[in-house]
Amino acid sequence: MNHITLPHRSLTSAIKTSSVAASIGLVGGIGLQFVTKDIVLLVPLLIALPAINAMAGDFATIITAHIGDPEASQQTINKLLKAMVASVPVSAAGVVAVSLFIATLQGYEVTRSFMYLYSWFVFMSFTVVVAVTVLSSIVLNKILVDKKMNSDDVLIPISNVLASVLMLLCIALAAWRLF
Amino acid sequence: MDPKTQPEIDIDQVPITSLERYSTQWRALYEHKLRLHDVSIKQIILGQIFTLLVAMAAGVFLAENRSALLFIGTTLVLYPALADMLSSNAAVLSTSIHHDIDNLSGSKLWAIIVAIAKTMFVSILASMILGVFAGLVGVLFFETAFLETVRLATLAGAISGLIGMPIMAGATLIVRNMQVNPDDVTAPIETAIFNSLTLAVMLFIASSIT
Repeated sequence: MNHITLPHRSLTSAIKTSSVAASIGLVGGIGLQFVTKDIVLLVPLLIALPAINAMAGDFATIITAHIGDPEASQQTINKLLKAMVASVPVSAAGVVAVSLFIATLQGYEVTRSFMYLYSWFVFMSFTVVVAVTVLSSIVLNKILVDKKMNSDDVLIPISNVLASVLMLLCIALAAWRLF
Repeated sequence: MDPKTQPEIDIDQVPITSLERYSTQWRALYEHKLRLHDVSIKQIILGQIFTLLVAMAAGVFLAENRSALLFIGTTLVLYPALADMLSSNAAVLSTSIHHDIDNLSGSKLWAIIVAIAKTMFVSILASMILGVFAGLVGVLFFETAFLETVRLATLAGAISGLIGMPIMAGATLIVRNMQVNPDDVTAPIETAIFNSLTLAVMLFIASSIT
């Protein structure tokens, strides 16, 4: 055991993974940039943007940290799935309520149909992102363990970028077509 | 020692006080490990509420400074990728500290300082590479200046990393000391800090550069 090897067992692989993952992450940003004018008009979505992106990252990190934990058992994974089922609706409800409240305070007129559509969109986006992250993390973790690679170094950046790209594409699509 | 060569011990011959002492010790060790690696719905939801509040503040800041998004045309292209890259590097730092610190020999403090320095180095280099890709995207699709985007990405990544990474290492150690699993709690702190910090730094740099 060597203390120098605490995080990033290999600096080059960490730099490669981070750069590649972040560059793939640009896809989500490009989608957003194309609909900048639409998003700027959708004040609740603009207010919620950092929170939605952060929460997608939270879910990705929590899921991969538990799935990649060498101490995790099947029971832990089952508990993780239950935790996701419980926390996704709470997070979605929180985002919708707070962003609509702040947008209303800023003078944005919220109609009932917009409220329903917006709530449905936030809930569905979180559900899709969490489901895809869980499945991809399980598969990737198995591959990494078989190849004797450290899953913390690789799995977390990949899952984070995957969750973020998916979420941002959902937002871009929603701004472009849904609202 | 090979278990086959070990002499057989009659459990009835072991003093009850020793049995009591070791059973309590194993139980305490088991519960300590379980607390550090268990999944807690309450902690996850509390973490999400923390993210919600911090990131919503960043959202309000964004909504009020939305014109800054137009100063450098690639700000919105860069922001999510940069924030995610920094939060995932912070997550690697945090999970590595949590998963490996108990198995380390030598100075733990020195190991953590080296870990933070390495993570910062990786973050700055990755920000620069990201800036190059975003710059090319900007030139191709949004008619923006290449060097401006590279400068924005590198500066924002470096400043956010320098501020955020030591905070995250400290948060991981504090959470561990509280007998709570950092895997459940530090993720929301990472994403909330880096999504807000990166956005604020980027909007500030975008306003300063132009």
